[in-house]
Amino acid sequence: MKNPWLILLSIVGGIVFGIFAGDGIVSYVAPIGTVYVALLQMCVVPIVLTAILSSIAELIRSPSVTQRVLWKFTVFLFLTLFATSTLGVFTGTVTGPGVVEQDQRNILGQIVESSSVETDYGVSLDADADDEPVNTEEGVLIFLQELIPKNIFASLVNSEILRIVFFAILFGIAIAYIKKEQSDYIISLSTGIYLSFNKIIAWTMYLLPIGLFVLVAEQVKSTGITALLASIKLIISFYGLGLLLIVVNTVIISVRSRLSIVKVLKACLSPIFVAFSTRSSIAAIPASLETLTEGLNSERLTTKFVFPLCITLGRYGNVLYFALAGVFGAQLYGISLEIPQILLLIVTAVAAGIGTAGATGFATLSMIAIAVRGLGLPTETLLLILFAIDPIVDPMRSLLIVHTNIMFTTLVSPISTSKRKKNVSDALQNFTKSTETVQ
Amino acid sequence: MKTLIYSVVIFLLFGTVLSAQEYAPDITRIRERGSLVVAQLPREQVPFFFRDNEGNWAGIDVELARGIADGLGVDLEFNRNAQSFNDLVTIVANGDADIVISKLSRTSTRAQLVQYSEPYIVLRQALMVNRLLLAEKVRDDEVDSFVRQFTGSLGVVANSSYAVFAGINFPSATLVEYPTWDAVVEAVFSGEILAAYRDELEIKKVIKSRPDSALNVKTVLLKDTRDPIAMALPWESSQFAKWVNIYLESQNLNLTVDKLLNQFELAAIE
Repeated sequence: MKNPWLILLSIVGGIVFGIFAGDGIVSYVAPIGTVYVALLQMCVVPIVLTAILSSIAELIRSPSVTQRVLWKFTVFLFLTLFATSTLGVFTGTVTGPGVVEQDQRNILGQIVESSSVETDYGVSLDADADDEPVNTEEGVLIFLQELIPKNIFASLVNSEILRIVFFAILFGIAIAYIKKEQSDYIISLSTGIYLSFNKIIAWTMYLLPIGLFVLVAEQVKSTGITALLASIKLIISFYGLGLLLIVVNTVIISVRSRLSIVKVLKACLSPIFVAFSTRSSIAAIPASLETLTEGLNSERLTTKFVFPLCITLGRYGNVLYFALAGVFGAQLYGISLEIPQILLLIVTAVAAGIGTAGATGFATLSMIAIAVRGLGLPTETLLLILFAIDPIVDPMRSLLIVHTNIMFTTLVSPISTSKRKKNVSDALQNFTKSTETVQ
Repeated sequence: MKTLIYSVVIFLLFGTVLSAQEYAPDITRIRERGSLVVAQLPREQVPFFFRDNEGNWAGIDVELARGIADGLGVDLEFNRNAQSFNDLVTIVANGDADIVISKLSRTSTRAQLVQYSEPYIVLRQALMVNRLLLAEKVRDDEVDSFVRQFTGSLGVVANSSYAVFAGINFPSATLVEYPTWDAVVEAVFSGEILAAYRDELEIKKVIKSRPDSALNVKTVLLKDTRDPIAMALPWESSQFAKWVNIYLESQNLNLTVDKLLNQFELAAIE
């Protein structure tokens, strides 16, 4: 079922089906896609929670490893995020996605005009202006507020991934500091849950081709062709950059994991396509963890800790897109970007990207307000245009988040030199050995 | 059209019945002259009055003027000497015309000089704001409160009712007057002024005529404002004013902005 040709066939089939089949037929099969995504989502919260829980306590008990990993994690995270943002901004200034013909401007104008937000936008002059204080808190403070769950069970129920990760890390650290006899039980319990859910995910992979087929067809149907043509330069620039990043990631993974390019590509297929078809990087966490530990020799404990954490912070696809879209907006409004604005955009695109942690759909896109505010762009028009083409862009964004984070994890965590162990305790014992050999 | 014919017939019947009796002096003056003089601006105001493909004046205001003249059984004549909306009021107050039918807003200032008919359409007021300049001032979620306490340059047509409305609704704005609406529109698009202030109809027309306009300007309807469009008559023409109100009521117009735009703008383009 993970045969690359079968996957490719289902994507092409989905595109063809989406273009030629009637609305009725596509919406008739659409529930299959929903069921597939639901199956994946079902496993996300338990896997994220138990992956971090089962790894962090062990990691903390071997302090040298933890320090090294954390240090690497922080430095690499910021380096890679800023590199991605810079790449987006510079590509934008070269390809000029926002330099458009009058015809295209007209179409973009119509997209904005016909949106429900803009048509008949009204204000009552008599309303008490001071009724609702405008929320002016931004950046770090908001991020901290978002980070800490008031009620962990509510966060678990609502799949608030960022908060769950935060809680799991704290919980994991706490476990490391209680007596070993008591903590072993929690660790082995969470490892057991983790492995069981991984089994379920492995089974859902049999549905991947059919899921892909339906989801791609639906996406094709929902994309407005005129909107697509009007912003074709933006889309091409983004997809071009995306492919470039995939190549770079693949090479780095290959070097790091000492596997051939073909093997790396093959191993990454299922998380890539889960992300692409579900348009959710979070839904691809289970498949990615499996790929990393089974296919790419990434050391289990560190991977289980690093990947869920970095996928919530390392929003590479979004950072890249915000950087590029910021340039698109500036060009559309004829604002010339000087060095200070370019530097500002690079920073704000990263901030906006990280801000999308746990957000989906329109909430993700609306973060672009943070990215472009420094440029003095009207964010609502930009947002409406980007929203119109998002069915095309979103899959690539999610894919880039997942793939770059797989690369990132192989970069940060040690490479497991041993063969895969079925038995958990064997794997745990092996952890000490493998870290010794690596260092 | 049917109602128009019916009402003409009714009025003609009334005319014959009443011919033996004495008319009110204001109506007698018009009948004796044999023509109704309507003051209207010389420049086009689609869909109120504009030149059609044959070069004839058409539009809702022209139709209403013709209906009133027909109802009185007199010819229709236009006085197009006014250069501004306020000029129209002066012309009718001086007795150089019998009535203003020219997309004229009803304001209390003007009502000191002339009397008004019931409004035949009530427009809402609207702003057309330059998006780039707006983005410099406020964030998206602050637009509403910004509009309520508008500060910055606000463009209006000189000597129009909006110069007065601006003083009432946006006292903190810096008023910039332009000779024509086109000049106001240009100024907003070029970023010379922050916003243009007029009725929703004119603003919708701009948005329709420039497909990419929504990228550059944001339209804001002022929901609780009213711009009643009515006919103005000399204060002493009290009987004629009553007659005009009865005429308007009998027409069952129920005009809306979209209805007007669809009916007349399409006609103007064809």
